[in-house]
Amino acid sequence: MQAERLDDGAFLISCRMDSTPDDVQTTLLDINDLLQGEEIAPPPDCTWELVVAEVLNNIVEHAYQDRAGGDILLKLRFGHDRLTVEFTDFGLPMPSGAPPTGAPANLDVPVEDLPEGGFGWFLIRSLTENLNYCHDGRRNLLTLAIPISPRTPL
Amino acid sequence: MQLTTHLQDGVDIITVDATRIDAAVAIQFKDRMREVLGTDKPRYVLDLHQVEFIDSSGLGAIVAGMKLLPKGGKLELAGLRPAVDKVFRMTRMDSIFAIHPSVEAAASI
Repeated sequence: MQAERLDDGAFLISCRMDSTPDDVQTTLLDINDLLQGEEIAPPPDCTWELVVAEVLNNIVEHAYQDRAGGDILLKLRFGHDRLTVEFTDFGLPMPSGAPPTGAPANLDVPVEDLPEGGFGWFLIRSLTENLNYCHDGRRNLLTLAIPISPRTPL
Repeated sequence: MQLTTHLQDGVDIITVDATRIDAAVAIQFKDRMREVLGTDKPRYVLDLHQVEFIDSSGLGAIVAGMKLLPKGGKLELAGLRPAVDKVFRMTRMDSIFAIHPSVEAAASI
């Protein structure tokens, strides 16, 4: 994992992880550690970690079909009012050539039929801007931005 | 992923002794829930006050936990931190689970 502070005050983190839920968790914990004490760290109520976790979980589950041994590259640029994130993987492309629309789950069903999944893309789409996806024949590239509300001055 | 149980004012409380319920521990969480949930109790309160982060896999695991209860059984939630509360509200799962500010509040009902 590499971290760099840019001239404009942005904080850049790049890392690589294996396609497992454990490695995703470790990566997110490491990023949180790096952000500790950084002035640019998003406020605690920011949902950046949720968005990044959902995208990474989807890469593990769908692009790599829950198989370890796949590379995932992650680049985060924490700016003053937005976080931009770039995800690269070398797994299967999105089935329809585009990320799912992320319709909200139907909860108007008996308890035994309540959904236990399918919330991921709804959350990602609700919390992000400028979502872009492409597959260049070899890799999936997904970019998105997460608005960050400015920290109230102490 | 550790779950501990105790009785408070006659209510069964299940405390999640972890800071995250995410994709890495969702299956473990479901397995532990299966171990601690009896088949004869109608109501449990899941104490989430230590949980700082939940993703959709964790949310799904809590829904799966509720389904382990006998018909009409209730799994209620208490002590949600802001990031956890937000996930329940955004997915409208707050309309499925009774949510209490704290275990004390849940046990007093």
